[in-house]
Amino acid sequence: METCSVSGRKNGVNILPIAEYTIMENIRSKIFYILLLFIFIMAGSSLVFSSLAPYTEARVITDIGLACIEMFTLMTGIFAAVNLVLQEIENRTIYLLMTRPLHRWEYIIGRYLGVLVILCFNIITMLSVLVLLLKLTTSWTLSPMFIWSAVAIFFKMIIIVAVALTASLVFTSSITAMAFSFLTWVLGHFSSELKLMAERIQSFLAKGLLYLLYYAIPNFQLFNLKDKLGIPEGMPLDIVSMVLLYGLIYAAIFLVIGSLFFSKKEF
Amino acid sequence: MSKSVVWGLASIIILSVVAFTLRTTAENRYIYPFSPVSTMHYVDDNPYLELGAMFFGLRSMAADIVWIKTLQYYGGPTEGETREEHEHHIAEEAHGDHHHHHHDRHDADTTAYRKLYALCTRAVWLDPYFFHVYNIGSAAIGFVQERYDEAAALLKEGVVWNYNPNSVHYWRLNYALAALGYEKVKDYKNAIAILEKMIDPDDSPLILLRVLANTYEKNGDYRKSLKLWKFISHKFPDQEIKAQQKMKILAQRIAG
Repeated sequence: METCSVSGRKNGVNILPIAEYTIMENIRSKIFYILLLFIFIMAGSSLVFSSLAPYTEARVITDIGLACIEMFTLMTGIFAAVNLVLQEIENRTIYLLMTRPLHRWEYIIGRYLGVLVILCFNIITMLSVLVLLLKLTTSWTLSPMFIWSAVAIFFKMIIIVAVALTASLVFTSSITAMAFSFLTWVLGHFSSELKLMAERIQSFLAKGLLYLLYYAIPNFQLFNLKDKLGIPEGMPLDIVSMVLLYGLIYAAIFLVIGSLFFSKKEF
Repeated sequence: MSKSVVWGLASIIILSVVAFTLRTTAENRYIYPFSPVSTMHYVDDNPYLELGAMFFGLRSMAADIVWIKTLQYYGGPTEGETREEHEHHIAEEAHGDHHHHHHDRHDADTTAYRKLYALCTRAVWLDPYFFHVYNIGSAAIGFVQERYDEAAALLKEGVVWNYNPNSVHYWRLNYALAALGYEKVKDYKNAIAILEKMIDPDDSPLILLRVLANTYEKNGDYRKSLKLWKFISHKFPDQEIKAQQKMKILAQRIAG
């Protein structure tokens, strides 16, 4: 059944043009220069570590490569997501868009998907460089867990971009939104320790607050498959799928919150 | 409250319940596979690396960094030796001028490289599944430096964390532990039997091949030791001078 808005417009038809516009905007902002930086770092580190870490060259290059992919994508993602709407408000180009037959939530989703496409392209390109380097410099073989760890990096981005975009709409300050997103990222990786602290702390109030924080913040350790590449039994695929679904739903919650805030904004 | 806000809030509640259910199910079925922060090890350094690794989800990479630091430490001067003295010793070995031919430069000096065990435990605290730390680290600490208890403690940790009867790594750690026990009581015959099962000449690190060659020698199996040193000399060209020295001594023993 097709859903129509009160004005008779079909819901969702504007998402793709907005996403396409976001992609073009990011390409123009020379965001892909970060890929060149990645190539230089990886080429350099693979040369250095093949001499410094005998017998573990493949492991070291894989770890550094996946860490760089994650960090570069995180920086690109947070920066792009935070500035997506704020810059348009600052440049007043948003007024022009808001005069068009466009739902505000469509604008948010379109912008969000555009950033994700750029990040996905970045991850695939960097991953290809990493695989090429590993093949050229070591006797490394591709494992399913390696692919899953790259997929999990993208799902972390699905979450953090939604968080950053919503934070930018709520705080309307790019610095605060970036700090909030960064803090979410850090605490998300620290969630197992948060739970441990909550279990051990005596104060009822502090315990409650820590548990609240623990469940409110996404558990990024669940997505951190790159740290689990060396575990003999790996992570069962049914749990991986469950975690990825959790990531999608968590991002959806933030997008709904962001859309609600954006719908109430006065332009 | 407008209709869209009500729908928005309702979807947030429903999605939160689904997310909470998925998360708790995943967390209950998959136990966090690393040691908590309260069990953190310290060496001389401050724990910034560990904290950074946990905050950014980069434990495996941090373990690599500690392992590289460990290898550099073991390749550098011992405690009480200056950098110049160390370089002088290296140069002597490279030119074959060293007088203590029977052992490596720091063999059987149980006080040398005291931090080795602490560095290895720091690496495996970050990534307890890092096989090479247990495998190479225990060989250096136990078989070379003859600090058997430290090496056994490291290997036992490796066996506990890497329990998987179908894994070659798991069995190699168990073999290393058994061989170390025999080596400690100077039962070289049994130590060799286990080391031979554990070591694959084409695949094992140099340090383990040297351990086996030295254990052959200690057991009086000079021909086997000579053969293995020949293999080492071919496989690792940078070991040629060391291997030549060893082969000369072994040839003399076989003749005499």
